[in-house]
Amino acid sequence: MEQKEVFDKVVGILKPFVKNNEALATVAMETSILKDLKVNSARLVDVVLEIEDNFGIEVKDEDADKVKTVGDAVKLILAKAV
Amino acid sequence: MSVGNDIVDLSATAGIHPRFIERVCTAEERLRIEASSDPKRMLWSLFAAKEAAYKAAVKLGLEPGFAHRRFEVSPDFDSVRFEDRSFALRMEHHEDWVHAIVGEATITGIEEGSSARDPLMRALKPMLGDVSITREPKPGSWDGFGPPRVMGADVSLSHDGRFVAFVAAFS
Repeated sequence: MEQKEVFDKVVGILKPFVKNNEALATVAMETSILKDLKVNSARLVDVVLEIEDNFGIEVKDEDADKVKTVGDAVKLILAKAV
Repeated sequence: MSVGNDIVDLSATAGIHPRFIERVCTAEERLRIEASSDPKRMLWSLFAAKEAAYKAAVKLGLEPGFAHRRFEVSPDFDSVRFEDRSFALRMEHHEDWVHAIVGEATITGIEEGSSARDPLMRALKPMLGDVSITREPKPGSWDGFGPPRVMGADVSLSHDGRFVAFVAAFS
């Protein structure tokens, strides 16, 4: 899977949970999911579970802990998806 | 012991993922939700308690990570266990929100708003005068900074949906 394809899918997953739509309009790999997009910690759980469902991967707690930016999520998915 | 808090706006909790509870709660906590007459409030009380304990744990130098199940909330909601530590817990309930407080907070406050910083500074003013809230750089944290700190008090801030909440304990 291409990075761009994964990035677009991740942004689509994040969209319903984002509180800062201005930041979403300029979203990039380095955009912080919590700080910039203002996704709260409860919704981050939902994001992780949606990533598991959409990409057919398991995101363990220790993996999820490392996901701070959209790019972190994309890289994690690319590393796990076959 | 440090303080931590977490508020959940119950109107902003709709549409959780079907595996949310499984991901966040222990098997025993899941049974409590199933047996509860108000499963929604039970779930979000458990979640708030875990988040509050997480904040207190981070201030003690622990690194719990993204692992809600490692925080076990006691059946009577008076403590949260994380590994070999037990955090004192107190819950506040309102029709619109639940608020979890970990540690011995001297003052607490909840109001509608988008930032808990100003309400906290106003509440601290009679005891400490004008204070500033600082956050030291902490690489690897969710936003690159550590928890909020105030000279002369241990503080914690929370924001969810329509509500902000703060707690403080004086050193």
